[in-house]
Amino acid sequence: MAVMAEEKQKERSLEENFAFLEETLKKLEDSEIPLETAFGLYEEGMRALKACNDQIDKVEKKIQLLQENGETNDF
Amino acid sequence: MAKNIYSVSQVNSYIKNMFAQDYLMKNISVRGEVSGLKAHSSGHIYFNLKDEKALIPCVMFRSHAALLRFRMKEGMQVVANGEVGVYERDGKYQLYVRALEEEGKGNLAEEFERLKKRLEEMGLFAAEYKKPIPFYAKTIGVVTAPTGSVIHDIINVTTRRNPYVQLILCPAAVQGEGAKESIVRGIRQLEQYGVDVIIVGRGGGSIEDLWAFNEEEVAQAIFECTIPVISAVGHETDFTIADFVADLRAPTPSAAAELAVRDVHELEERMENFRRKLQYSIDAVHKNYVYRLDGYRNRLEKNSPRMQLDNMRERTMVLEEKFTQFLEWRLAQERMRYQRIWDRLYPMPDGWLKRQRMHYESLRERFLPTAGRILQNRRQQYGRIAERFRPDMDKVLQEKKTQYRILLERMKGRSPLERLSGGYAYLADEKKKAVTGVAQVKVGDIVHLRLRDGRIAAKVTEAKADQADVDRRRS
Repeated sequence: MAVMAEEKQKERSLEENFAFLEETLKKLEDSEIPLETAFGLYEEGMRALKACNDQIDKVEKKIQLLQENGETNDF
Repeated sequence: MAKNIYSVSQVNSYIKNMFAQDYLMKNISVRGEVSGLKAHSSGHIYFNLKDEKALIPCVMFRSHAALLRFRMKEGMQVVANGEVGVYERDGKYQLYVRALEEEGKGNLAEEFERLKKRLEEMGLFAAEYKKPIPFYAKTIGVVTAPTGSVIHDIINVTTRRNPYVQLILCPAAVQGEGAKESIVRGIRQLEQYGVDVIIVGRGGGSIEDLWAFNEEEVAQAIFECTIPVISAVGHETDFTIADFVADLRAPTPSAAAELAVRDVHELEERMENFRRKLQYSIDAVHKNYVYRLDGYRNRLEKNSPRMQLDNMRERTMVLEEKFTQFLEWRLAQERMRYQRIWDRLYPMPDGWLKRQRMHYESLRERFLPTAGRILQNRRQQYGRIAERFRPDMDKVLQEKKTQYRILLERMKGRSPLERLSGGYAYLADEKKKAVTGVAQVKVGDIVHLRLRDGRIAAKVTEAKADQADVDRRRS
């Protein structure tokens, strides 16, 4: 089950992750949910957040110039 | 011979002026065949336009020549638009060409409308073919001139919004000859390279400047591109065919960058927000459970035998305390009442009263028997005296009566006041009561002295009994 959830999560785009987080929060904000479910949702939300962070891939990029032969070099 | 003589310059200048003032000459389109074509190294193009009968020299300066969308050839049928003016130095007039079109191509606006209609009918603008711009593009391809404000605007906006985005620039000629081929090649190269979104554009200009973006080949390339394309041609008011075909039209190159590049700061803020909310929610859930747990524990404890015992003990203690408090209150009340009575009784010298009474009792007991005896003695004495005096009693009585009468006669006409002469006074206190002893007055009392001829009010400064008198009273 957990493995499946993880796989599913890997497929999610940034946008989908955001939507997923929104949904997760909505479920979590109902304080009557079972404790175990709540912890599960929290964990999934945190994992989605981490995925978002990974997707942004915070490395500053140099502008590349695309040559006619398909190669790139710095602009 | 005419009387005025002019210099050559004056004549040429005059003629130039005449041309300049002519409205038609200022903006004229001329159809003809290109001949004597000379492209000067300065960038100006010199040629003639001719038809079967006539010829006009033409010059197209570099600034205009650069905008030509095709290469001029000898014998080409063209329509030149410009101004007919005089070249004073050579004394010749010529056509200063601003724009040139190949004959048969028609004018640009018409051509634009025609192409637009045709492509629209082909479905190239249809909404169902529009690809969505990715939510988060990591790699962005740009097809535009490698110099100029457009690429700089895009770079600026991109790095400001998201420095983590990869920009791939595919340099292209965006106007003049070869522009459309260059743009098409750029789009295809970027597609092959694999970017998330492509921006195709150039800065503002005339319809001729922007013309490459109205070419069918460019429209086709944009349409066929499997990667979403954002067009950004000219200013906000400029519309090109490329704009209609593109998946998204941006009013300016900067706007295109904003549409293509998501603001990473905003994303980070949203993520931070999510993180906070997640934390908050789980905390809330947790707190809620702890709270409920506490509730159960409390209820359980409340019903435990030990708690019940404690409760009873506490109730007993409370009652006890209440009772003690009540007793203390009553005691205090009684004490207060007693105090009040005591306060009222205190001025009465209790012991003194008792002593006086006892004293009186003892006197009575002492005197009662004595009194009887004295009385009897006196009676006996009296009896004896009476026996002794009885015979003379009437005589004595007569004498006394007479004496009394005489005295009465003597006292008649004499007021008691007469008796106050000779330094005697009658003493009365404030209440007009006769003062008969020192004990009746105190120092400071006012006393009234009645003299024979009036009264004196006096203040007592000393009240002292005669020693003998005091002694007698004491015994």
